[in-house]
Amino acid sequence: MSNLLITPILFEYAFLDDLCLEAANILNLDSSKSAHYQQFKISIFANFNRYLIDSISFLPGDVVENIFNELAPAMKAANESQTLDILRANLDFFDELRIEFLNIIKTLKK
Amino acid sequence: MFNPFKKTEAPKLENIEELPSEKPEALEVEEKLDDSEPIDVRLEALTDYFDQCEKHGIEMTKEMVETEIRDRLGIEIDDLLGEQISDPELQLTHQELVSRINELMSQKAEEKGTPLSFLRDKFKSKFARLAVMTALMLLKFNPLHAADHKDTKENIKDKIEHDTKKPVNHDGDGDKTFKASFEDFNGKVVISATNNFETDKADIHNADNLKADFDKFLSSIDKTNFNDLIGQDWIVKGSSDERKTSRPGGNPVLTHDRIAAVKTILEEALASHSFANKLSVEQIKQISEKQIKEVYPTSGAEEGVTHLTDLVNPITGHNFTDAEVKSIKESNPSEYHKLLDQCRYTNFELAVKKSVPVVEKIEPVKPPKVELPVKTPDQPKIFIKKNFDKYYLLVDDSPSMSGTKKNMAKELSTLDVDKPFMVANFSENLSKISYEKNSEKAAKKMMRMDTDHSSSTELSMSSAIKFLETIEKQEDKQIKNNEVLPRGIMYVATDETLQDVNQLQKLTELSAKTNTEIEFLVFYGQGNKVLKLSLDDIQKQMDKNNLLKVGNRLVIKKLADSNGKVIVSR
Repeated sequence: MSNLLITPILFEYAFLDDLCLEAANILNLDSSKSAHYQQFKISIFANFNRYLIDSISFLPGDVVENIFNELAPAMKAANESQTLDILRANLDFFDELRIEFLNIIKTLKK
Repeated sequence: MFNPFKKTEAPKLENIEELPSEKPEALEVEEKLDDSEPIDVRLEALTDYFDQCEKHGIEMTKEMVETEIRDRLGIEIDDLLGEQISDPELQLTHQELVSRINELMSQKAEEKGTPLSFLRDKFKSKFARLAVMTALMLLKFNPLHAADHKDTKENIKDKIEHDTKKPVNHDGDGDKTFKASFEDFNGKVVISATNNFETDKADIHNADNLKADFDKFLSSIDKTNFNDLIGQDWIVKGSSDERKTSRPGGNPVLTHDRIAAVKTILEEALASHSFANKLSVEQIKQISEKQIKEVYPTSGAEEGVTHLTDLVNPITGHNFTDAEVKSIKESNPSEYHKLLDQCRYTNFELAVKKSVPVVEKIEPVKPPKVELPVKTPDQPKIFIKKNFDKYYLLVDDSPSMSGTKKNMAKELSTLDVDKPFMVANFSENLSKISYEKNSEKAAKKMMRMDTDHSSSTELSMSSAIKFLETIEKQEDKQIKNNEVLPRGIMYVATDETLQDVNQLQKLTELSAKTNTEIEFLVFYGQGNKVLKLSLDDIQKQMDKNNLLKVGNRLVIKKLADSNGKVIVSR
């Protein structure tokens, strides 16, 4: 369970870095200011996770079960091909979330 | 308030097996973590506790999860994340973001007719675990965590630089896994040892596999190809990318040390390889004395380093400029890391003649290939129709479109259409229209177009109308004289749902007046996929009442792909 969702989404796909950079661009934040940007990443990370969790809860129960119950054992067993198949099947879903999340960020722009 | 130094208790996991699973609340905690235990240790202990519960078939209830997190970490589950935002400049933004997400989710729950609290509770225990995992990962980014481990500022700085210099390997966990590959292309033999090194280090790992690759190459040498191969330079070619390294002496030393490490392995392999029965005595003598040369960049600002500005921008045909590098770094990190990958290598290379058949037959020794999902956009989609007299390109200038813009530019650069192109950006407003002579110049213009970070709305339809109004003014005389205008096509590219569709009628009229076909290109899936919509398609969406009112504007609520899967929604 320890790698569930977070690792693949945020690291294998460089999802977090891209998301943070895009969000920083929208808000005109300087990504070169290391400490400041690290804090910003934490904020984006935390909020995206919160948003991700809520979004998953809107999915039909069987889909949620698939995400939790298929992906976790596959990752635990280090079955890469199976893990990747499951992730691919859900990739569009994460892309949609990314776009909507960035739209929320845009509403913060004064 | 989240206090990473708060004293808390750790679960004694060994006790779980002795407990009846139907009464997990009775788990006894006999050991405590003292104040010196950092937060990540406590979080990991909590994760283990969850794992043990799962292993023993204990179904965690919502109350149990909340209690465990509250007791062990001293924080409510909903506050677990985000409490570490200490930067006063960011606190407000963070809180506002939390609030906007809650508003959006409540709104969605309302539309669904189910209270959000109910939806959240349904999977509460699993989500709680997810939150804990996220908190663990957060700690890796948090400078406070580094302080927790009593690191010095310098160490933290080194760590950040170290992490940022970690190779981005699109083939997976490459910096830990043997990845030496043997390739034969265009008359060149390459054995890549690039991924045999840990970040900032020159100690080669999986040396046996690298040696096996080289042995494979040596085994292919016989009397028929000897003269072709022995006369060529055998080189180990290396370079570091421009990012700083913690290695003493910097990148030049790192490059040199890595080359030396590879060279040593290859020289040992050459010395121990048996050419008996394949080469003559004289040939064996020659090959055993063959020198492997070292090659590294020397012409740049820093020896042993390939800078991004040393690479040629395939779009412009010239080296990347500092501004282009900066733009790519900010708007497309994946592309940026790919470029860095091109600058960082340690390879054995040997140019051979195509006429050497045995070398071409050499099969690479590779680890099992696992196809990993790479977030790099696919090859550009063919989206531009030919046989029009004029081309109008309108591109959403939000940062998320930067990769798509590049793809479009790449395709344009290959079209070879010698017709006028008019190119413009849009967000809430239409930018100045640029006039280009042909597709190649339009591609270059598209690559140079700015990204707008200031606007929050992309009014694709209004922008298309403004654009065609400009055309209408330009062609005023011909229109009044009822002359047939040159046939044009307009592409409106965006990655958002279509906005201002209540102006569809006006756009349709302008389309007819200016003899312009219009196609909206809605990109999705990291810009790899595109949904094409004609004005008729948009009308159909309106007929289906797939609309949402936003202020005084109408937007398409959801757009779906050919399989009916929603790709963009408002």
